[in-house]
Amino acid sequence: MPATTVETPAAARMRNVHIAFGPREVVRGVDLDLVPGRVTALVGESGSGKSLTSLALMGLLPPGATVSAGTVEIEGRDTAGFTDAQWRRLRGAKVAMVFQDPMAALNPSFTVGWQIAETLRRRGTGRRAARERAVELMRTVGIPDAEAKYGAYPHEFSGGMRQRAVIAMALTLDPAVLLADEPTTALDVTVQAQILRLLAARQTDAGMAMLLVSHDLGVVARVAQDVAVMYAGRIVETGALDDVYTAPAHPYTRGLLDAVPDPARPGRLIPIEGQPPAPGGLPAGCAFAPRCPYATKVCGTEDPRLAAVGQGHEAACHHSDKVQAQATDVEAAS
Amino acid sequence: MSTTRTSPDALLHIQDLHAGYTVPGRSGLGRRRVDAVAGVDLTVRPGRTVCIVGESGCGKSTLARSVVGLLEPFAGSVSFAGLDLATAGRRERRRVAHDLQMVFQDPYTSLNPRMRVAEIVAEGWHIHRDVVAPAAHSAEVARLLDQVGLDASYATRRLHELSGGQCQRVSIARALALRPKLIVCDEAVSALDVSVRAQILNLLADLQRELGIAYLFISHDLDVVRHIADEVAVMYLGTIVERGTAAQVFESPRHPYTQALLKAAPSVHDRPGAAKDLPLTGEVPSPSSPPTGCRFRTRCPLAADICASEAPELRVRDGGDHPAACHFAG
Ligand SMILES: Nc1ncnc2c1ncn2[C@@H]1O[C@H](COP(=O)(O)OP(=O)(O)OP(=O)(O)O)[C@@H](O)[C@H]1O
Ligand SMILES: Nc1ncnc2c1ncn2[C@@H]1O[C@H](COP(=O)(O)OP(=O)(O)OP(=O)(O)O)[C@@H](O)[C@H]1O
Ligand code: SF4
Ligand code: SF4
Ligand SMILES: [Mg+2]
Ligand SMILES: [Mg+2]
Repeated sequence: MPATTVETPAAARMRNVHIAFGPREVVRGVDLDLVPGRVTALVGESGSGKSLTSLALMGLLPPGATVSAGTVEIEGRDTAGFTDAQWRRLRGAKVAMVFQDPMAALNPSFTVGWQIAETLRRRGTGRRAARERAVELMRTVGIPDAEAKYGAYPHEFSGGMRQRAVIAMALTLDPAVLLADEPTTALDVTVQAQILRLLAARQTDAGMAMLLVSHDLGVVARVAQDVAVMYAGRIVETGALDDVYTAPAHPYTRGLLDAVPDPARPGRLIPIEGQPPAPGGLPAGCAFAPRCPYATKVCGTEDPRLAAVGQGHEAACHHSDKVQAQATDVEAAS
Repeated sequence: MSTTRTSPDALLHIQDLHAGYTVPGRSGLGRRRVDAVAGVDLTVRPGRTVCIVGESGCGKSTLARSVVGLLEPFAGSVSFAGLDLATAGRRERRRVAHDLQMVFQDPYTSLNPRMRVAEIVAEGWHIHRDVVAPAAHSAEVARLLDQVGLDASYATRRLHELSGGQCQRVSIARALALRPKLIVCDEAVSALDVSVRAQILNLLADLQRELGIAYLFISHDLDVVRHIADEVAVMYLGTIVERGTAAQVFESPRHPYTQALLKAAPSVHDRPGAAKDLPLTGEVPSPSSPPTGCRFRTRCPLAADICASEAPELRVRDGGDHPAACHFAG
């Protein structure tokens, strides 16, 4: 895949996006470019704002949450001031989402197949054709006995089948941008591999842009060209996957990679010490400082901003040179 | 499995369990039984970790639900701490109930999203009154939240105001709150970032060492399973197809399904576009009409005639050191 980031205009773009619940800011200035034909992975701390960031790209923030600053653009159009009707026209066709919680996307009182077909019918597809297409989509995502499962209700599906149904639903209208929030966590690795392959094909053949939110660093490694790492509402490191994984420049990224279980190293796992800042209780300076093994005095007073540490590779850390100087376990193992 | 006997030291003992659902008949008339779990034997000893891995839809959650009494089995038995749960009276069941807890695959639907975190964690203490004295409730909630890596200020939040991983940790704290002997963990750490996950897995290991808690741990994450399992059972379409110690299953898998599973596992060394072994192909059969003979035969690269006519037993075969249900698993 050539580095097309420069020439190809982004299908979706965020600039300095802040998301807040009243006075409580949970996303604090995120930049993101989703480019056709590329997969960008968003990984990082649980509770750091990954789901809210993706929901903002769908105009679906939960009640009480607002984009308090910054811009969200879909295919070059600023979405500030979009009406519900304008968002509805975009959703599904331009931007579609695989939600972290599949039950939230499925209506428990209608059959799964009907719900997929309904998306098509609302856009004018005939009854019979919509049904056939729905069954076909269900089969593509690997739902066993798709014909019979068309008429089954969401609660009659296993966790992983629900997740596949939601993926089928998101792909129904061939969206330009797919936001996939933990799309494969409920799937066993063989089905996971099939789904990832399917999504990768959509992305190369149809030029779909994709944001993959995942905690599974292996899944990310398999499909993403670019990675952004989030901590406490900010992207703290971003770059090409290979650079970020093999030469992490932020101590948080480094800690994440070290926390992956390694068969060669049984016994206790190595989590990052300490806890993320309590909501509303951000420390002065770097948000990671209380947990950071590299922290010095400057970290307690000056808030680090993203800065280049390599080609197309940025990190928000005063001491990224020291971090990069230490070989990672991942490197050592390969 | 022919060698299973009621072992007196078993905490959980499952024998020939059949469980599942009744669905409308093919003609739309009557109801027919679908055995999502079709004859499973499993034993968990105190202080041990038994992991279940297997294809999505193979019956893992169904098994978990039957173990904790949320689903009435069709046949077979589940006994916990020596008590046969099917025949036990309500009082007896209740006596053991707090010793047997579950962390659900989907916390949003298994817990009430409008409830506050503190209420969710403390709920069991109102039923099992001798676990924590009422005066100590809020301190104990704070301690449990801290253990799972959540700031005490989350106690007053409602569940729907939390992120996916925060929610999952509340559900873990709730299970730990009753100081159980066995926790059934259904994809209990899948929504956590790897650092928090490491922290929780270390916590579970510490509690196991200190209090002798046993875990029946269901997970798709093979790295995690390999790390924590004393024993691993591999399920396919309602039955266990292979079992052994983590080393046996991961280092010398005998069943073709296990082999395919291990090959498909993602790793941080993968890269996009790199040719990776083809995952299993072929349509997954439905538990309502499983293939004759070996249930894996419709997708098995080694299938032979005998596989269609004879169901392979789960047993150790010549040359093997742990049981697998394949005619050719030597
Ligand atoms: N409806 C809500 N009301 C109040 N706070 C919320 C709400 N939804 C999310 N939050 C808070 O916003 C922060 C970011 O949440 P978000 O769901 O984006 O996290 P995430 O990065 O997706 O985490 P995870 O990996 O655990 O899913 C969290 O601290 C969460 O508690
Ligand atoms: N309420 C129900 N009614 C009918 N069928 C059901 C019901 N719940 C589950 N099933 C079916 O039972 C089978 C086993 O489901 P189960 O949830 O136990 O799978 P699982 O192994 O936990 O899968 P996953 O890894 O995807 O969570 C599936 O074929 C599923 O469709
Ligand atoms: S800026 Fe300082 S505290 Fe923050 S991550 Fe870098 S070294 Fe650590
Ligand atoms: S018994 Fe036959 S079909 Fe079944 S796993 Fe073994 S070789 Fe494959
Ligand atoms: Mg999330
Ligand atoms: Mg399940």
